[in-house]
Amino acid sequence: MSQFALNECLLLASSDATANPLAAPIDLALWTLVVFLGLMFVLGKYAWKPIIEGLNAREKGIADNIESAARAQEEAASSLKAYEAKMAGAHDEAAALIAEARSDAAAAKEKLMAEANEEANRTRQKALADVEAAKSAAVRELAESSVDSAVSLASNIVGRSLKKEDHAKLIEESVKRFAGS
Amino acid sequence: MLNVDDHNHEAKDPDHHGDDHAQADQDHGHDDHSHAEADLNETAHVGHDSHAESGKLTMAEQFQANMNKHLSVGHLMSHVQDSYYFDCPQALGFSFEDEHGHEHNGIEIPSITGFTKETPMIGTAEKPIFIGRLSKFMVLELVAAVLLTVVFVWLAKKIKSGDRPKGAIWNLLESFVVYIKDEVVKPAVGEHDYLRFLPFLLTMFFFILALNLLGMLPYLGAATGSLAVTAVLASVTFAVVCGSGIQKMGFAGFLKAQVPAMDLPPLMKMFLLPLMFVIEIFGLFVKHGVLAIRLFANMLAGHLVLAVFVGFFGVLAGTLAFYPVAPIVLLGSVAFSAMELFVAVLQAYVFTFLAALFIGSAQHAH
Repeated sequence: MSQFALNECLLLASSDATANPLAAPIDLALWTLVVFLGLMFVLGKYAWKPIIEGLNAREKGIADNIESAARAQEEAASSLKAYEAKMAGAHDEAAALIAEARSDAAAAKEKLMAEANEEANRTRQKALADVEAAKSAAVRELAESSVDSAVSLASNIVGRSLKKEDHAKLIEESVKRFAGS
Repeated sequence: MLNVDDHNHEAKDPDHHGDDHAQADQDHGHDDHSHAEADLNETAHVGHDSHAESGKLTMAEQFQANMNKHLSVGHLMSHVQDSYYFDCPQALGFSFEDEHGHEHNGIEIPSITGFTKETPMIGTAEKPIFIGRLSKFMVLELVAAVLLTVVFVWLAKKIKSGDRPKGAIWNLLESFVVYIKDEVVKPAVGEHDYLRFLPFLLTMFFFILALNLLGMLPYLGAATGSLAVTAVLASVTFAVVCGSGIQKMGFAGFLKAQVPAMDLPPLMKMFLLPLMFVIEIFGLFVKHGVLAIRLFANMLAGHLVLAVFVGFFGVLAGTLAFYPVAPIVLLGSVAFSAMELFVAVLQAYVFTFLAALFIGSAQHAH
């Protein structure tokens, strides 16, 4: 590989005169200028302008869409809130209704019970009074009849008729005696 | 890009090479430019001597001859620099004879004007100033311009329709445009008047990108690898920077704005301000000069390295080393091509980004 002389080769190569990396031919430069300016004009008019307009329009459209979506969301949220409030109100109302109904029922029950009690009491009192009255009437009647019979028996036995005063006095005494027994 | 086929052609029949040596030498002469001829003749002599002695080239001699042919600066540069013909695969059978009577594989660009390098429009045959003939890079620029016009007028029509972006091409192009618009130009130039410069900077980006990418196609070339092209693009940028600055602040205002405002004692100011003014104005020119050189040097160097890689095939041709080394060279050139693809986009971006920064700084005082 000693004959493989890279250095020599490079030396040979570097003497090559065509290779001028800084070569800048004027015609290529002018051509570049014309092509670039022409391209800029054509693209500016038929490409960049409509592209930028289109992009801006789309950007605006997207921004508008987002805004209206946000607005719709806000509206939805507020109506949901209102609905929820309404629901909560209805719930409370229902609870109040139930509570009211319950208390009404309780009151009605109370009232009915009281009335029934009263009625029962009254019936009992009346029955007691009736019994009392009947008892005293019976006692009186018994006393009167027994006095009468006793008087008639006695007058029959005694043979004389008692005076009116003696008669009343006798009844009184026998009633007392009867009641005391 | 490089003319790989003629190397492969040789590589395919290495056994015949020794017998065809004289023929091969002749090919060298034809294939290379006239200036490389002297070197080649020398090699031919070496070849003939050993041929006479052994009847066959040694491997080292074969390497030497191949190196002189395929890795000479003249040969490599002929692939990356501007020329008046397009390379094409040898198998297609296109060849032409240039003014010197040399035969080239490729398609010559017809001279419409009638001017040639030997009879230039301005200048002499020894020192041609303005040749006035359509060259490869000029054709490629025209192709790039037409392609860009077709593609972006189509895109404009699509975007204007108001539809949502559909399909890979539409999305790809649009994302490029939107990126340059929103991420490069708007922050660099400023929200207020970036729209005025957008057409210029978009055209700049896509023109450079198209030229760079055309350079990645085999048998074409990167026009951005020529200083003439990048110098013009940088000069246009310079004109836009100065023009917009002067339009905004007036000529004196623009010059004044080049010097940063400083709080200094009056005596110091009197001494320092002129000095800084000179430096800043010099810097203004240098900035744009570097803009041209960065793009040109990146593209030229990248394509030269690619040329060397592929040139290795030619060096290896006709030797036993071809079989083990060629796959490595192939992988290397594929990997480097991938990097060049990245560089093609990166350099277009860097040029546009810096141009936008320069425009932005010309709009606002330091």
